[in-house]
Amino acid sequence: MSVSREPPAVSSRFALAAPRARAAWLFLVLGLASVASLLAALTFGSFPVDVVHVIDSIVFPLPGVVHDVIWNLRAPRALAAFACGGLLALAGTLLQVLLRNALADPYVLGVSGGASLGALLALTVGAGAAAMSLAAFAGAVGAIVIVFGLTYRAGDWNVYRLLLTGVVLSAGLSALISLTLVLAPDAQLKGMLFWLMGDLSQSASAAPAWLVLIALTVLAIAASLRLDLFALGELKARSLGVAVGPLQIGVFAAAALATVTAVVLGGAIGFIGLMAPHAIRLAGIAQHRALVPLSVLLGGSLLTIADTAARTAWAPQQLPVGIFTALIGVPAMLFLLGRSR
Amino acid sequence: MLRCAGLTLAVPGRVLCAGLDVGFNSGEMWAVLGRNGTGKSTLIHALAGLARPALGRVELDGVPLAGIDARGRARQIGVLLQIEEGTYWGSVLDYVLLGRFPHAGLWAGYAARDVDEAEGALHAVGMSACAMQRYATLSGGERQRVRIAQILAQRPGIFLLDEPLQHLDLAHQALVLTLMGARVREHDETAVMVLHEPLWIGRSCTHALIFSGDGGVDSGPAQALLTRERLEHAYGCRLREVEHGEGRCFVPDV
Repeated sequence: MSVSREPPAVSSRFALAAPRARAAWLFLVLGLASVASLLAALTFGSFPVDVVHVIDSIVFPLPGVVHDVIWNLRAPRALAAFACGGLLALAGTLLQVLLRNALADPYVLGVSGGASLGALLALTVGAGAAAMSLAAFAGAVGAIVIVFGLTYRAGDWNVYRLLLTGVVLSAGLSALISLTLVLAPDAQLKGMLFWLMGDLSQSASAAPAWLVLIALTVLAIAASLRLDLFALGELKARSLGVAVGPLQIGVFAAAALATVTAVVLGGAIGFIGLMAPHAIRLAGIAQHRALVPLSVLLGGSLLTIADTAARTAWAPQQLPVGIFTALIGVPAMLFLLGRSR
Repeated sequence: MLRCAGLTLAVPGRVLCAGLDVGFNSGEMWAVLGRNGTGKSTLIHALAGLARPALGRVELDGVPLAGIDARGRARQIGVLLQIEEGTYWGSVLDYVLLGRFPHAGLWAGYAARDVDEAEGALHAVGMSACAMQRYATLSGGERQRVRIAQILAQRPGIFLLDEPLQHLDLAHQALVLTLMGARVREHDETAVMVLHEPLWIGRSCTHALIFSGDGGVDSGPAQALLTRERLEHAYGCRLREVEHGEGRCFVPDV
């Protein structure tokens, strides 16, 4: 049997060099973007501070008004924004691979619906910020438990059922949220709308969120080779030696934890979880080893910039940050989509 | 050696085969034949340890498959699935590299050796030129060749191939069977292939396993097993025997 053969491959090292160089390049760009976004968040605001003074205050922290503004007012919020964005991007990346669905975002499992309902009910009864966070947390965990309980029974796991259960539960929660909005006293309404569109002005300490973000990112990178295989389907992943069941539960738990942490910190901020991983993929990165950390950096810096815009664009009036994640993200995403073949 | 003992396969409401005892030895190339829906893919899945049989067991060198860890099993048994779900966003080379997962360090990732294996496999199926192209942009036949490259890069000693020739043109059907034949003969490996192509079965395979469609299974050396009566019964279709230079093959008599 004679079969035409092509000449020997000469590509050898180039083949892997190209995507690695691209990933390194993206790490550099997004690393700088992250630093720049945090600096911008410390610099801009109603109290004028020069970026030189910001850097000065970071390098030589001396007490004073500038120091107070930067470290007590802006830094906690900037760090909360970055952690929140990173967590949403991480959750989106994990859920897109778990559900093998490009449209999955952190909220498909009903987490945002549960958290929103909890927060709104707390607002209705006039609860404070801490009680509201607690209620949001309870609502999110409740939604996760319901979705997981209905989907995972006796070792049987089906990602389509998981997705559908999440979507159905979200629809129900959305109806309850509308009902709460309609019945709520007018005085509470604006606070509720803010919460629903994402709002970082009430953020509690970002330290736990950073811990969760760093731990989950490291775990996701550790599982990255398995996640790559998972994208090919359950059977294929198993045939290549992945213990699929434990991995699915781990990814579900990680995504749920990331989403709950982010939602309690900043409300239901849309867009970032869906789009950050897609933007990185459109830039030519498919392997999770690079995709996971790059998405986290992109989500974090995007939300930090959006939050800075949200509190300065209409100052002294603050706007919900969700408006800005979309206003910044949509054109960028459309550009990337138009550019890719 | 891969062997199944007392293997009973069933899908809801139907028993596909009962008490199957077959040994797939090194140096043997098996054709798994039968009508649609008779249990060929289910057998491949059971042999690969991907589906638990209703009864019986599958052993790899005397050790039950269930007792071997997943990555260790994947170093010895490679499976080409008939249908692959999911979308792959990466390049062709990235896709083939996934076949190296059983050999890769979980932290260190894929090494230069793995890339060499992947590139060698792509070269073997004539897809080197497309290495950097996105997998999703390939045609059906090209994807099939790349999927075969992936299993070649995996370097298992036992190949379980569910319809390896689907979507392939004649030249590439020949190429794939030549590659498999070389692995089986020169490296003393084992190939078990679900085939429908009448042209190749008698020429390439040393053994055959035929699902007769009524729950019965015949297995043995291909020469003795591949008779017109048996195949007509298995396929439920009249066949004509065609002589060619190297032997005979069967085509539908319609």
